[in-house]
Amino acid sequence: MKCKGCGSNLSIQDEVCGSCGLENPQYKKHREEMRRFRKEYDSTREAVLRKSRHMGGVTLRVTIIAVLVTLILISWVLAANAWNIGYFIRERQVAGEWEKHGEMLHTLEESGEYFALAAYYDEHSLYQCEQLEEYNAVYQACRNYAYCYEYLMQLQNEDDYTPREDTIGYFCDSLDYLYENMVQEEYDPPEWYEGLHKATLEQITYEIRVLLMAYAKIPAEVAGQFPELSTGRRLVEIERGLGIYED
Amino acid sequence: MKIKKLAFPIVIGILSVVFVVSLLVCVAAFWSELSYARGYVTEPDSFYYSLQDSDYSRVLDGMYRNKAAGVEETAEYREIYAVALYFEAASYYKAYGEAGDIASAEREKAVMEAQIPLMGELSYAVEDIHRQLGIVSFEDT
Repeated sequence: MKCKGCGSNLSIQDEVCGSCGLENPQYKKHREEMRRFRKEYDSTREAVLRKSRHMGGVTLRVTIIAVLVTLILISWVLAANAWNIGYFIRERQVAGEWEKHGEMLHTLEESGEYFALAAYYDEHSLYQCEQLEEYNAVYQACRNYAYCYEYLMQLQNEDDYTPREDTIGYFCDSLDYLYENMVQEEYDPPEWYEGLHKATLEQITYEIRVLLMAYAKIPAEVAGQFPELSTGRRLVEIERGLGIYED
Repeated sequence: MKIKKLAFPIVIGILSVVFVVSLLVCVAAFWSELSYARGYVTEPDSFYYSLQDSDYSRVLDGMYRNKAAGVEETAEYREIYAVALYFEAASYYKAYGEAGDIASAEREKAVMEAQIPLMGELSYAVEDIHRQLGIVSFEDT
């Protein structure tokens, strides 16, 4: 722009003309506008910073809440699946040592330690091991035999707190399960009931018979027929032998 | 305005409490699962209670479970186990004898004789076992 007095060059930022000293009328206007722009800029900048600070605070809070909720859900899911996770871990452990367990089961079965076999099978959760499935029938027989023995011996204990009728009931139930598992079902693999396993089941049947004769006072001929008798008939014979049932 | 300011800390506080409780529940669930996996181990005190009640079959069951779990056999356990094994052998000694299976009865008698010196202070149980099973003497059958 040109000075109105002397015509020399003037910039908008010159307050007076450098040549003639005449006041620049545009300078004041420019200065006001610059002030206004500055003020608007500062206020907008402040607003933007305030908003972004606010959003940052909101984001942080939402993140904290989301993390806490996620952790809560994860702990609920883990708690609900604790058994499944434990089962999976045990299954892997058992599968890795199945040969060692198989040898132990064979040793115990061969030496006739049926109660020890049942305890070992339970302790190591060997029902999870597919490779040891052939011991299913023998294990069931040993486990139910152990229960039968325990209840029969409790009946000999006069100091036992459990009512005799209840113990007799438990004993009869265990006998039922024992005899049921001795019989090969249609879909049971034959190897469950062959060789040493067959001999084991026969030995257990014999031992139960002698125990019934000695401690339930069952006559020899009736004790021999026990596997074929009905549940009710077995109960009658046991109660008769123990002097509870009267004809 | 005040309520709005307090809302976030309150929510965080509640969620934190819920998280701590959930964590405790989770730990309890895994602890319970671990205990189940470890199996049931019978301590000497439990055995003594069973012996006091003449519940020898329970002692026998506890012995087999402890052995399966690999519980270390201390001197205390050995005495208790001797009583359990004596009871087991005595029960079969009588049963085989009455059934006429003398060979098996003699085998069980040998087990009984082997356990007596191992019972230590628990040897008083022999008489009680005989009384319970109805064994008058070794020659009872």
